[in-house]
Amino acid sequence: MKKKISLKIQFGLYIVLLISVIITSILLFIRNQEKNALTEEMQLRGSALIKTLAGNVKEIFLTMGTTDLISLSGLVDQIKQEKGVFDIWILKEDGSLIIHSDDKIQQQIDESTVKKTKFFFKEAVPLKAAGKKNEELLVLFNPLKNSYQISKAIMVNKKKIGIVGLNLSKKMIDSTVSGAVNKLIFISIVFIILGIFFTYVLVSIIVKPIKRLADGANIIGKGNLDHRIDVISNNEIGELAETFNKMTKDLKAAQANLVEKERMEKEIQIARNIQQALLPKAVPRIKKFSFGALYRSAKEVGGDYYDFIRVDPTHLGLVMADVSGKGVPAAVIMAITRSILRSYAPGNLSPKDVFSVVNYLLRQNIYQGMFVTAFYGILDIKKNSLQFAKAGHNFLIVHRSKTRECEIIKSKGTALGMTTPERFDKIIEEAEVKLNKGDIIIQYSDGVSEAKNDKGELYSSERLYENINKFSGIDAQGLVNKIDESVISWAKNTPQSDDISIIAVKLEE
Amino acid sequence: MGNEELTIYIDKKETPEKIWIFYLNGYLQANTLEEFKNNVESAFREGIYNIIFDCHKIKFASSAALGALISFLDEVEKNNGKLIMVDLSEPIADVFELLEFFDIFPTVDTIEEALSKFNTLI
Repeated sequence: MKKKISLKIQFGLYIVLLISVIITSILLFIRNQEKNALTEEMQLRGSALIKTLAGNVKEIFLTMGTTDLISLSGLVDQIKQEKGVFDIWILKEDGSLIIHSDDKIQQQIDESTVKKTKFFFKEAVPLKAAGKKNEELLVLFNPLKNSYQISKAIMVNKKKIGIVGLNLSKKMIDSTVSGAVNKLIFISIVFIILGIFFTYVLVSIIVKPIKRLADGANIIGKGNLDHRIDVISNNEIGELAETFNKMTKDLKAAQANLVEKERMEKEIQIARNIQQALLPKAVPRIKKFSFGALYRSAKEVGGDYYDFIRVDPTHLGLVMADVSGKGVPAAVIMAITRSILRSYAPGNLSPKDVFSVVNYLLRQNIYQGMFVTAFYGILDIKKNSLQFAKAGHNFLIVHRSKTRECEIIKSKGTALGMTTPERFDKIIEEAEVKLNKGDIIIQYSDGVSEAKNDKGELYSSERLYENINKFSGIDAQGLVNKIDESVISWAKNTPQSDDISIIAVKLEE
Repeated sequence: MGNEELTIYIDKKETPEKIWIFYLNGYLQANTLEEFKNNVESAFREGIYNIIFDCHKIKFASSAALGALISFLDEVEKNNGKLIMVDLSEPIADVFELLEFFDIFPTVDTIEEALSKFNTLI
């Protein structure tokens, strides 16, 4: 893992660096300023001294001649007392030394061991020339003596009669400047220490909410989506915390959504299981007749139900029903309807009476707003006839082999579980059809007729009749399969919105 | 099925009986059922049990929607009100025929006719 450097240390380092750079710059600037100012002042003082000296020497030269050493050395001693004055000398016009403040040199002059030479000029470098030409000052810097050397010619009637000069020590300037610099360095160190301290405090204040954010993220990461990060600050970190909280909220919602989706899928699976468990596993096998049945569930299971119930040795009950609504509620109502039907159908030869009982019982058990449309027919195997009633369901289709046309047999009856027994019984009717050889009876749920194609057009009952006519030559199961194929090819990629159920019975001989 | 929607316009008649007329336009099916129920139940919440449904612009009605109609009828009759269907469009008339709803729901051709069924007090 990469080594972590804490923000505190990082910030601390940056701030110290920054303060150091700023203070060093200020230091250098002040030092130069100070030095220049002192140098200037010193040169001015030196110039003033040399001018005074030159004036006095000129007077002595003019009144007493160049050999009045007593007066001259008095002057030199006087000037020597001035602060920073290193040494003083007086030259004749030919450059030979008359007097020097240094006793050793003075002794050498007296003993004539020093040649009248311009020794001092060799050591010095010119700095600047100041003043008018006739009272020209020569300012030089002497690195050997670390001093400023200022000299002036003594002029009489535009004629040089001598030169006076002095060395002003630069040491004073240096010590003044370095004293100032030391003070500044001390102040800088104090500031750097203060800077580190304040940086530490400031960064602690800034880092604290970040730390809380990180701790919060850890808690949330462990799965506690109810945790909220409590950061009260109006800056970017507060904003980040808010964003983080919103993300957690959204995450929770997304998770809840997923759970809900899983629950729904589970529910769909339950409904599908109920449905599949309650539908007949196989079609009946009875001499003379062929039977066909098909159930294809939509994604969300509807409440389709079909059944073949043995009523007595010569009668077979045919059921096609469709519970309003979808999912588990529909599947439960379907199961209830099936139980009632299977209890009351055996031995009862009147479809109307059976429905009457179903309606009566369902009415008491059904959820509000739900109902069951159903068809119930009793096939008389001996007489080849069908006694039937329909409760709000699709009309019975009888395909006649003689005409090769579909006959729609209407009968009255309202849906089961929807209205009071009195009303239901008043409306429901019973009807009968006789079957001839090759005739087919077909019942279906509205998932067939209401199957939509990609343009939203319905498959429709008319198309169903056409397809029955087209495939009437085969046995009942074959016909049912063909119809289903035609529905599938009609719908193509359009999702199936309702269950599809079809049953068919054909009198083969 | 994205644009298979339902728009509902409610005309609240301030007659002594207080009748709400629902003009239904579009598809009565799974995706619109909740809205349909909410609208009608808002009438019940205000104590209005005299309901007229104008159905001439209904394009489709699912079995669940018809179930809702039945539950509205139950609710209305329990509270001594009336529910009247007006001017059924072909899709809903077909379903009504199949389910024998004509025997259960009072159905008339015009709003005036429906209103006259309430006009016992005026």
